Amino acid sequence: MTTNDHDEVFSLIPWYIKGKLTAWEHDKVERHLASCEICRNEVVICQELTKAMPKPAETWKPSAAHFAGILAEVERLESSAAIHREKTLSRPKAKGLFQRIKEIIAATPGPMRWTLAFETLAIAGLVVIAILPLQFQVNRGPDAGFETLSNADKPEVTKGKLIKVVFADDMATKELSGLLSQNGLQLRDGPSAMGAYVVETPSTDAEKPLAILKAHPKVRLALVLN
Amino acid sequence: MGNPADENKGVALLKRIAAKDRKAFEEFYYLYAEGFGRFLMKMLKRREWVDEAVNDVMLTIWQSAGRYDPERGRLSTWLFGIAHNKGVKTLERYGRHREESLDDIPDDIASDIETGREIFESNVSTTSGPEKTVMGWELGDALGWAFERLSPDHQTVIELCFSEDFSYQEIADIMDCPINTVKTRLFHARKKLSEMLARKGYTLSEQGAISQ
Repeated sequence: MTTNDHDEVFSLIPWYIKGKLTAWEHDKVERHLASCEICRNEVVICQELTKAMPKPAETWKPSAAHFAGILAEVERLESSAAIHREKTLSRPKAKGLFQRIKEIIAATPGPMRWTLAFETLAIAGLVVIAILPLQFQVNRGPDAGFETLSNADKPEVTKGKLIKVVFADDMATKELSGLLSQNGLQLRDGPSAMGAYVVETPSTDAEKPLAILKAHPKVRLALVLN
Repeated sequence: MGNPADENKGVALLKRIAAKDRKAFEEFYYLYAEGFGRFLMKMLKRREWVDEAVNDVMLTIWQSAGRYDPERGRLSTWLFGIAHNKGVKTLERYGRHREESLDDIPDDIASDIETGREIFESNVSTTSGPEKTVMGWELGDALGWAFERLSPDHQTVIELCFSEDFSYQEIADIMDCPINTVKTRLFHARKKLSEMLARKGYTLSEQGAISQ
């Protein structure tokens, strides 16, 4: 038996003599008592203590007068609680936003309601108009604001012949586009730093378009590249 | 207070008290108040303090009857837990703290306790002899004197174990402390009692009798 076991059993002795231990604890104490005089003495002391527990000089007994005082206190508590509950129930509830809007509309005269409705719709429409173009712009590339005659970023596979063309300085863009489209020519590149364009013929036969270009008064140069 | 029939009756009354039944509340008072009143008298020593504490206990029962759960422990454990708590608050309200021993308490209270001690001592029989009854009575006087010199916590744990028959788990629930604290307090309380009995000339003989 270790010192810890002894201390453990010693601490259980009061409940051992009262029969308040579990079966396992009771057996442990009994086994220890067989070999420990200190604990056997303690059992005797605790038994004497149980018999000789001091009685208080005064006793306390319930009485009708004492209970009447308690009941009066209970009635005061219940009365306060009832008043508090009443106050809580009669307090107006906090209104939600929707409820407040309804009340404002109900308080507004009829004609003014229609005016307010139209004004609200107009403001909503303006907001939509202001936002929409921004949405279109946001979705386009960095050069979305500029439109060019050619698209150098996306070169297409050439099926026809490529002709290098230099136009006169006074050749207008509209005139140039018209010349190309009338003859089925596609602009593939340009203008370069020197003002040269590359156009593509619809077929592999470049003779006819080349002749048309050369004959135009505002074409300075027309040369087949491939 | 702790017998099963009383326990079942008490639980049934509590259910009615939870429904604000004043009649059940009165029945409960007469069934249980004397038990925890006696316990509070040993703790507080003064009738007016005990009246106040019993008052507080009953009001707590009125307000929290619905919260008692029989699965968590005996009704007597629950009641004594409330009573102990109110007793401690009453002691604190009147300037006495649970760890203080007799030497630390205010003079007016100390004098009351000394009066109690004198009553014990004046009843000491001059008869000496081997009869257990006489020895028990003298020992009772000495124990009364020694008991009064314990701190309120030590007195409470001795009272709950030796007079009220609670297990160490129940005492832990009542005093709202761990089981090891209960065992430690009881160990120290018994040790102090032995020392004070020795001061009064009581020693334990080899045969187990306590003699002077």
